[in-house]
Amino acid sequence: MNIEKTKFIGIFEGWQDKKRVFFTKSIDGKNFFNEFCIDDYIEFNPKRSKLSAAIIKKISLVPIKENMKILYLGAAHGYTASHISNMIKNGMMFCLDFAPRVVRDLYFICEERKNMAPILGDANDPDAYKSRVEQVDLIYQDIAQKNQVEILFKNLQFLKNNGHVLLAVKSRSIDVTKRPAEIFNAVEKQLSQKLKVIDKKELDPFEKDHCFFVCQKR
Amino acid sequence: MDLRELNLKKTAEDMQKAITRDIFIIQTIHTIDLLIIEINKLVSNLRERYGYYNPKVSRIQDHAELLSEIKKFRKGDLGIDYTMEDKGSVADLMREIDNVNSLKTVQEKYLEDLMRQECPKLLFSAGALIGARLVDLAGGLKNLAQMPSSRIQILGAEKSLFKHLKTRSKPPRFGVIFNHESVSKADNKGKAARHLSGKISIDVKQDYFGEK
Repeated sequence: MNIEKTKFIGIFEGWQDKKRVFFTKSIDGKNFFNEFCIDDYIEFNPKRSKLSAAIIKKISLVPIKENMKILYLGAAHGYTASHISNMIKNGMMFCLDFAPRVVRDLYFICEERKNMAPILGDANDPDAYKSRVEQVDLIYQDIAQKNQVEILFKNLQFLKNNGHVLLAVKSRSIDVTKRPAEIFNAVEKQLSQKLKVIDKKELDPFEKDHCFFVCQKR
Repeated sequence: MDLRELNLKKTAEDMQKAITRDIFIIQTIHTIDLLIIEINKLVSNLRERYGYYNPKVSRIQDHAELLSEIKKFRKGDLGIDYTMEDKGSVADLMREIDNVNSLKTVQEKYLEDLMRQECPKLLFSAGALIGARLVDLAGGLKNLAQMPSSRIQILGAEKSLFKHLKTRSKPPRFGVIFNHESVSKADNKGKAARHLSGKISIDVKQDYFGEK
């Protein structure tokens, strides 16, 4: 398989059985989740990561660059986080999650990666971890909560001006009775109060009823 | 000290603090549920294997009675002959089932002791198995203590609750608390479920917030 660069920094692609496969290059050769790999290039599976699903659905911008500082809300076991860690190289990423059980898995990845730091905390309450994060260039939020956008607005205090926001919205956790498209439109409207929405993509068939937003702080 | 090391140290401390003893209740009830499935599968397999030797015995529904009958190894009508090796193999399987059964009993006793320490009132009002399932579904004793009783009433009936919200079908009247005697044997099951969930709600609040 030939591995070629894509237009996004740090993300590579190849073709296998007429299927497009994405890769990131591991900075220290480690493959934490036993994914398919070729040398140091590790598969970025769209079924396990919403960022990868958004890239396969042809999102126009992934604003992750080298040496960036990132705040990751809802890192869970650290699958997407480990791939973003590959992309930012000498940058720094603060990975926050709420549940002690998944932070345990995250902790061991962070121990081995020089550019990751774990935080056990509630994204609803930024004051509790205010002293433990820096000003960042990008916020990645993947938390399935009802007041997801409010939580993002609370955390905008950590974002530099013109910084970007990547946001995965799960419509089922906002309201099960409404149609997903309605909810995504409402979320877009709410986001545009404080941010400029650059692109949005629904993530079918990789994630059901999810939508991925790329925004920029004004 | 740089920010990464500080975060690693602080997270390690927070993680240890955040874990409370009610996770043992959740894990034990998971074990018991697995053992119940295991026993059912093994017993139905044993029933088939013994069925050709004594078809009549293999029709007994009750597990304990079935096992005690199989232990006697008496050939019945319509049965075919088993060699010594055949019988030995069936007896081995039966011994394994006994082992799993006794493991389940030990786990249940441990669960009861655990709940007597952590939530004695919940144990009294709901019983060990149902109480532990409620704690599991709520995701911890704290979450269960903060729930309204109407939500405790339908814990475990999420599928039918969301069906109700989407299609306006009838709402569920009870979830896992249906297994409690006072609900499953009552004439008016909805009313009994409401009553029991109210009791459980009060008791678990006393367990969590009250003095120990």
